[in-house]
Amino acid sequence: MTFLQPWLLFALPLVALPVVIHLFNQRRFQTVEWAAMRFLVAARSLAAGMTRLRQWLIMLLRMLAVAAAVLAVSRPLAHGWLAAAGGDRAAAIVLLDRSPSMSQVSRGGGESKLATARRQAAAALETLGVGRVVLIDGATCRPVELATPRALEQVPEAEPAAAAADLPRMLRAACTELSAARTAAGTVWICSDQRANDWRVADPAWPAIRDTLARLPQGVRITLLGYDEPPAGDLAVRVGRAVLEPRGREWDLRLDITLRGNVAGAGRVPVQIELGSARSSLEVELTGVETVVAGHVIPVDVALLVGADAADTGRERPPPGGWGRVSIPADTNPANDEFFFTFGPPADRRSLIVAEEGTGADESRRILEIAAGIPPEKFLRADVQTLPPADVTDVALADVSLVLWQAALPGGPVAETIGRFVAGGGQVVFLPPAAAGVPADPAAAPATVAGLGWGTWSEHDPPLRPTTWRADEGLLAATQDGTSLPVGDVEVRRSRGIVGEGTPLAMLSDGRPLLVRASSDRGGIHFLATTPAARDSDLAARGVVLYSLVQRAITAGLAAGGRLRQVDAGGLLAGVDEQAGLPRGDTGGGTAWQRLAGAAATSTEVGLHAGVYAADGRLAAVNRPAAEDNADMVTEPQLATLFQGLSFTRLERQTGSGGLVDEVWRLFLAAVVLALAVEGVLCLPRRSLAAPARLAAATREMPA
Amino acid sequence: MFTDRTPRAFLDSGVIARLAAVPLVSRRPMVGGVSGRHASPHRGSSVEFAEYRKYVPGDDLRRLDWRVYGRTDRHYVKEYEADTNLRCCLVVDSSGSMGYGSTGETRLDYARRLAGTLGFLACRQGDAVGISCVGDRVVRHLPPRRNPAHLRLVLDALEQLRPQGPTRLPEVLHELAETVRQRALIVIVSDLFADPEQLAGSFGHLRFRKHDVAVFHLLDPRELAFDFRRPTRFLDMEGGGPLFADPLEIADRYAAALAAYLGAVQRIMLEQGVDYHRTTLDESSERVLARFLVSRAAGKGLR
Repeated sequence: MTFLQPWLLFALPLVALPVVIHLFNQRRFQTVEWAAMRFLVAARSLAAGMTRLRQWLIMLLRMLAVAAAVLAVSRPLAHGWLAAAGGDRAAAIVLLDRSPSMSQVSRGGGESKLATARRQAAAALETLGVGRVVLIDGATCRPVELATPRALEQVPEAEPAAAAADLPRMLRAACTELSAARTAAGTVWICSDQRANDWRVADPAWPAIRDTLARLPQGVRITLLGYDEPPAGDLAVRVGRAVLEPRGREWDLRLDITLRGNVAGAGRVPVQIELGSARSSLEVELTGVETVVAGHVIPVDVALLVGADAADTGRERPPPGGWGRVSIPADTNPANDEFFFTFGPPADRRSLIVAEEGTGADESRRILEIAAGIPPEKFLRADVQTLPPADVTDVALADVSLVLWQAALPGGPVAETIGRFVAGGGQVVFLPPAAAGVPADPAAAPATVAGLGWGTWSEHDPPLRPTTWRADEGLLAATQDGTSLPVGDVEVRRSRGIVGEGTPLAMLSDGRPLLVRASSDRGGIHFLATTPAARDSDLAARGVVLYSLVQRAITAGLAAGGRLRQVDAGGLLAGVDEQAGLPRGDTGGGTAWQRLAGAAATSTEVGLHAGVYAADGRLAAVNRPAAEDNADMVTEPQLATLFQGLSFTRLERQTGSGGLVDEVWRLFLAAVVLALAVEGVLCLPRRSLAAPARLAAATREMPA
Repeated sequence: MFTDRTPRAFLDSGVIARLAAVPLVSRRPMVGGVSGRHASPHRGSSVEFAEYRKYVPGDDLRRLDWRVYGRTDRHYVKEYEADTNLRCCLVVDSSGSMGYGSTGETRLDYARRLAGTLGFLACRQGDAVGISCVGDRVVRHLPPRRNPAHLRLVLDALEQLRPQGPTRLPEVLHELAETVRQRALIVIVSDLFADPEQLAGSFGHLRFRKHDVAVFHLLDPRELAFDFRRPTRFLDMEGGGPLFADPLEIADRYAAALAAYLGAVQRIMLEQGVDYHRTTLDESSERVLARFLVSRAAGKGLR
């Protein structure tokens, strides 16, 4: 039980007041001489047990009434879990998951999970009298101090966003905040719908977060407000691919539209496609959890489309393409009922292979040239260029989507160039150089790039095979129809160790990583532990894996760094200016993203909301991440594991339900009234006081 | 007639004058030494015809009924009822409980008035009056005498009576039943705070001895009402230990115990043929006595 005014509980000894009054009353008795003692003795012995029980009951009820009155004025709070939440009033950190899945409303309508979470958390913090409230939202993971708990319902940082939440990152930010404010008691409130993609259970940062939280001197209490209602009646629409294909002198827009969701008996769903001011629609028959409309063709007048964009953007240079929007009728989650996309003439798939001449890497370079030079579609054009490391400049990297780096790790100006390239959306895959790895100039060549570096070569006889790899995401993910890449068939005869912390995407059977993604960037840097040369591996012989890896990297580079971008909310667009050191919004002469479509947002929220943005002739369609459409939840055992050893309480809440913290003093007041009423009934004399008088009168009339 | 001119607080001459109009009569035949106004088990010389009896030698010829002899040629003697005086034994309880009274006078004061007035009336009509003051034993005993001088002693005894000690009324009544040899009117004035079953035995004993028993059961109005409000320590007037009680708590059970006791006493009195008068101290003693005398006068003639 938690109380808002616990000091009033010091009045609880007043419970003994009825006993004291009783004893005092016993002391102020009168003494009379009495003749009819035999009746008194009989009265005392007659049903004395019941009388004693009644007296005890009366005393108990009086004490109960006093206790309930004291408890009522102490303002008790409902729910047992509040004992955990109510103790610390100094500060609270609210981790708010505002991902699109939190926009889910219950089937009957009403408010969304996010609105419920904000309202309930604000009311709870206000009721608890928390002095300092820090909000860490799931999209930016930046701490924002709120003036009052009620501000939680007003600040833009708590508005729905299209970006997925990153719970490990949010908790890291909370740890930083808690470490900085040592005096503040640590109470962390997590408002989330427990989607697996937001919680990232497999993130290697979890153990470190646990340790940090456990070591905080002030102690941390974590309360999870879990809004884990299943997304009933929700259908999500997504565009997988939008390309312009030539058709004679005309152009066709080819769209892959995916409808995903669990809508029982939905039948046919109308899908509306908007290209500028032109609209078209199609009816899609739902066939299961996921329905894909592949290659839906729409004829496009490119000139008209580009002209319309130019009119909208005003001072912007007309982009070399257009944008569109696909939408379905509103359902229980409006956040995933539309999807923006950009399209244009297919861009050249330009790749750059960086290798030093004469280092024995020619075989590998040739294989890479083949893998990068064959476009996946016949109408696409691929271009591969090979340069020595020293010649890598910004100019050379212009319009390049992928850099395959098989040389000593870059340093100095080249490293900065690569950094800008990656920050701009480019992809870099480092392969181990053939040399022993000792750079000619140790000062110029850093040992690591994005926290990763090369170790020593190892020979494997017999050859090793990858045993585990990430099939859910990354360059080795399964294909769209769920078929895994034959990564396990690759034989690695020689590999070079990868040192540093990153996200392993594939592991060899001896536990060495085969492919690692740097964790410090936004997924643009990969390290491959071997080369496609025949003496190192049979990646060339089993070309599917290498080809998929290279082409996916090129596609990712095109999507994120090309002139027509398809960006996940909270991803590259939101971070590019920050990483490149460029001013944000319209405040300077640098990159200023202009919103063409989508929800209005403040300048600091650009890239976090779905929409279409234009800047410097580039178009970017920002949408929710694909993983947001996956309804998998974090299970209870997983939660228990994640917060093992910490003070963790999970509170399951219903969307649209009442407040978290309910003052229940009325109940105690009712208990007072009830106790007093029962006590009054028990105190009623067994017979009326007039009865003895009637007895006396009857005695006189009694015949002798 | 009376030589006692000492003013007695418990005697009211006006009351005596008014009650004198109603004779004190016995409900049973009395065996008296002199002629009186009470029925006797023997034949006598009153004007009330009793029966015919065959003449035997030695009978007074003046009582021979000549008319019957003339008609039947047989000798019959005409017999008449005998009227005699009675022996009135006043039994006054003097235990500690008789000292209680909430109306301004104690139960013993009331008993004095009843017993004194009755003794006076009995003596006035020529009956013998005696008194037994009883507590845990017979405190004082004056056997019945007819002379007015003895009445003074009786009244003195009443006046000097003080309430003290416990009650052993049943045992004392047994003792009196054996002590009073001839038939007598035994008037008991008491609160009867004793076991009703034991009282039943005592009254049975008195009845067996052919005594006419009358009982004035004195109860205080507060004993009936039990209208205490505050917690009270009750001190036993008969020497028992004190008892602490919250009257509000036990009032109902007190009333139940009292009703059970009164019902039992009532039943016993009916069974034993006792002339029972339950009296509360707020009643007028004159009215109580008048009711007593009238009820007995109405039953006069039973032999």
